[in-house]
Amino acid sequence: MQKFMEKLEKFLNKYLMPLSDMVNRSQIITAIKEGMISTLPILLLSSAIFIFAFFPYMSQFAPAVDAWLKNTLRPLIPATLGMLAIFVIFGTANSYSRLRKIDSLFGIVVAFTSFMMITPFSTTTEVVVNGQKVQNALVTGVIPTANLGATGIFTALIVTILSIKIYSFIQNKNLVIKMPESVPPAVAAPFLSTIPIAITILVFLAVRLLMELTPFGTVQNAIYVILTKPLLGLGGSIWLVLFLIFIQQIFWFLGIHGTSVTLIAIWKPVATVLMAANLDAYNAGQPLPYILTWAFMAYMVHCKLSPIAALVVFGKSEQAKTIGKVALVPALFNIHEPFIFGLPVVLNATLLIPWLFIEPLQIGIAYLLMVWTEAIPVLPMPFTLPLFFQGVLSTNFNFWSIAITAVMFIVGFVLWVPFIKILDKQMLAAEQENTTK
Amino acid sequence: MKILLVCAAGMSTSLVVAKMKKSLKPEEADWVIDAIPAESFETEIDNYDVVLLGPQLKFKKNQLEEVAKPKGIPLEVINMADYGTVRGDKILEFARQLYQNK
Repeated sequence: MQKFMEKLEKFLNKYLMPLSDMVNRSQIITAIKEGMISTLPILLLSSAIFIFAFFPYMSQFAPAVDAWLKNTLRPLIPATLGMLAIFVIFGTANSYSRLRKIDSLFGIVVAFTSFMMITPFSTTTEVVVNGQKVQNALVTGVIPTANLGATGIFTALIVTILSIKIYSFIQNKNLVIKMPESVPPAVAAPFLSTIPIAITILVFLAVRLLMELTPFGTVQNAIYVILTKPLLGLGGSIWLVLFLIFIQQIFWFLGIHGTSVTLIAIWKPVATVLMAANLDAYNAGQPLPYILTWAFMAYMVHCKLSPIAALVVFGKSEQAKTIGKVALVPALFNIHEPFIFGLPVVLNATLLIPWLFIEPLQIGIAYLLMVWTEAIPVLPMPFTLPLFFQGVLSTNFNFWSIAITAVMFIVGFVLWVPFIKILDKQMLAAEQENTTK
Repeated sequence: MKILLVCAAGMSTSLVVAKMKKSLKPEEADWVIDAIPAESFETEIDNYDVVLLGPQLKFKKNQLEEVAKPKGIPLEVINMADYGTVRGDKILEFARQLYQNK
């Protein structure tokens, strides 16, 4: 067994470490990840607004208060959640500029302007003229907000990365207007970026004009049809999530922060778009278009509490008791490192099988129950919020979420008990051997 | 001395920080110990004398070292068992040694 573990560790180190290093070092993935993370304050704010604007049972017991809350708070949504793609541009451009070593202010300027360059300033919609409805009317002098919210995020990411790439390429080629050294840097800086910004924007103008010749019409539309739609389909698939969880567990088993190299690096960008689309629909009182979104984390974050609880209840060895004590309270706030590194779970052969399979199973069960009870998490929650609160608040007080969380916990607990008992016996034997020596 | 702890979100490491602060000797009362997520590493490192990395980020060590080494700031991964059992005293001792040996 010892030999097998050594081989496994070598094998995984050889193939997984370079992979996590690659994911981690890629400037584009880092910029996108940081860009999405930077939207967190906006998402949490809109989530708090939703809780008040859609306060449970308020519309039955106090309809006047309910209407007042809705009317007062609703303008916040289009200005925050409705502009999500713009916040993504700011965050991603800021991060990517830093990584490409260019001035982040000009990075944001060039990314935002390039995005606007490919955005049509007109829309075809239904308008009312003198009390009469007119279909398919062309309205000019407006920016359609549909392009600026959740569905515009992929366009925003692509344009941001490409525009800053072009910009930094030109600047590094030294195609800049140089001022004599006597000119103060604050005056010289805008001149320095004039040519790179101009060329970048002209590139996007060319893209816009070329796209007008195709059946897509606009870049926004082309990206939506070619990329966004298929990606959203894939990102909303439970199989993708279960696969990523499995990989995440392998990483943790090696002592690597698995969640940040799988779920956060790969799934989060797509899952956030899905979540924002659901929030839009929820705000408009329409049925939710997606089931599986980033809000599903409300069920996923507490899976590892089960083995820790089993350890606390059944652990008899000193090691088990000590770790149980240290690990239990953080685990209530979804922090599991004391358990993973303290027990340790890392490279612990006894725990390999349950570690890899129980968590995907818990999450699969949660998904099925969620589809069945329609207790679908909609609002994003801070990940350190304890279990039960996560589900209840995220589903906006659907109390089925309590049952789902409880079932997940119990299934995990029952399946973990035999393995924890085996481990405890091993540790107990080792401790007795040490004391008799 | 100013000690910086880096982990994925700065959450689990904040547990360790609290324990480390408790283990400070009276004459070390002015020491600064902070926990940050890896994303803010580059903007924060200049304010510290020693950097400790959570074991879950050992795969980032090479990358972060490229930043820390030219500045002459020692950077090491925290021992897994000490981190898991939240042994603030041992981790603090580790930081002291790193600082002395630099």
